[in-house]
Amino acid sequence: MFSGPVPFVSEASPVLTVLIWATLILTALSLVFAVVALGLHLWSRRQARTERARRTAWREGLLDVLAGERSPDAFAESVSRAQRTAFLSFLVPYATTVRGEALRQIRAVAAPFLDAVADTLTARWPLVRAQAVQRLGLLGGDAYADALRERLDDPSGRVVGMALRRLAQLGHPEDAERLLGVLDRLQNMDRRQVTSALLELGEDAAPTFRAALADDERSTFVRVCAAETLRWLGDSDAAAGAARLLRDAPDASSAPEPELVAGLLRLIRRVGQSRHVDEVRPYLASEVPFVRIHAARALGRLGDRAEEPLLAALVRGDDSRWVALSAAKSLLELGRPGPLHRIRQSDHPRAALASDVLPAPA
Amino acid sequence: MDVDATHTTVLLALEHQPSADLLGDRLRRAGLEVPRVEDGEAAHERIQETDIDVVVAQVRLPGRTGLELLRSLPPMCPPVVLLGRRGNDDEIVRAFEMGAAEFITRPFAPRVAVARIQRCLQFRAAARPSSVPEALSTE
Repeated sequence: MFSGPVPFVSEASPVLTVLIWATLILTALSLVFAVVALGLHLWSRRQARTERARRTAWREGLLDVLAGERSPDAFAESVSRAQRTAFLSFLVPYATTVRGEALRQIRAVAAPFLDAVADTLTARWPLVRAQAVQRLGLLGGDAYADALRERLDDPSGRVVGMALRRLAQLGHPEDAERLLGVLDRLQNMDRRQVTSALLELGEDAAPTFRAALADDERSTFVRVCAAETLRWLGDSDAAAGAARLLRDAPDASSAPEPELVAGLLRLIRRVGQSRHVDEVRPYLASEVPFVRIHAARALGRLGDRAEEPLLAALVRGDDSRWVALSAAKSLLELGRPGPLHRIRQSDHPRAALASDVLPAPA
Repeated sequence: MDVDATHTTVLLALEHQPSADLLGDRLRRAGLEVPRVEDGEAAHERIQETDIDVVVAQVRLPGRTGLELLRSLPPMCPPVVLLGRRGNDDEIVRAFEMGAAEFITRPFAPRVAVARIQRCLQFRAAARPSSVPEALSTE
């Protein structure tokens, strides 16, 4: 049995000694890591609190400027140059929300910080250049229009796309040709985004878009964008040109550029007149379903009772349910629901479709 | 006209922070109460529970869109001003067909947007002649 205290360490084997020291060292390291982790956590929370407080102060300052209670210069002076990047990021969503005098005031606040941004227009990384273009376009306005125009030649499509959108937003119709000239580089961009940007150039740019639509040297993408922009502009002068292009297409049933034809049909539905139905009708026989859809919808807007048999035939017999649905809607638009009532009351396979389209019986 | 701005309430049902900041600040400076919710369900509850004079609702609102909110409100509810993005004419027409009192497109001029809300408040005040703030009365 034990007769006194055990000389624990001195008599332990060397292996046990190593284990004891290793345990002590690991415990000490764990404590150090725990203290560091806690410190980092507290530091990041403090940073987040500081950031929130800074943004709150900026928001209050900006709202004071917009309310006319503080000058843009005085507010800009209160912002540290070291916070420039964060401050401009803070301003961007406000600049995209307002227009007119409020936008001019936000631009005045941003002005002292923008020359440093302009220096990054030629940075090595496309992302940095694109961000610079975005900020200069939104927060700099016309003062940086020439710098944005130069970026239309940027090797990066991302930068070109951003420059196109920001330049278009400045609303100078004389930029229309320049912007159309770079569209071929942006074919991966959503066409609606392109159209929405070009729309900002306004009605004065319509003649340029009409010329682009008529120019068969241009790509289909550019011509479709031009057609869509004219449609959104509601440019009635584009109707004659669109009708001519539809009439002159080599073969309506197998149009080589169905996307362009669909764009023309959408345009003519919006701005055309009843005299254009002769140009639309042949496309009801197109091999491409979405061309037939747009032809049917155009007839619904431009046609009269004479179109009833053609549209009714599409409802009954077209292979595509979507074409049949479009034709049914057009019959209603023309005020000719008779064929739909007859189909609904029959055992025709499209009876349910006719029922869906017709208003519910009172 | 009776001046009691603190009893005039404009509910902002806006998820978009800058819009809420810009409109809310202008309306508050005019002496109005401007509570804010960030989704359509909360807006619907707030309208039913409290006395709201005008609702400003974002078209694309989580939970219940601005249009769904408009559709769900009974006829005697406060007027609804919708806030949506520019370029969607169909959406604007549909909003008016469904009974929207106003439609503000973004980007907006804050002064003009508040004038539109002001007009709705004046109609509301005329329909229920209790109070309209001096700051919002016709200049």
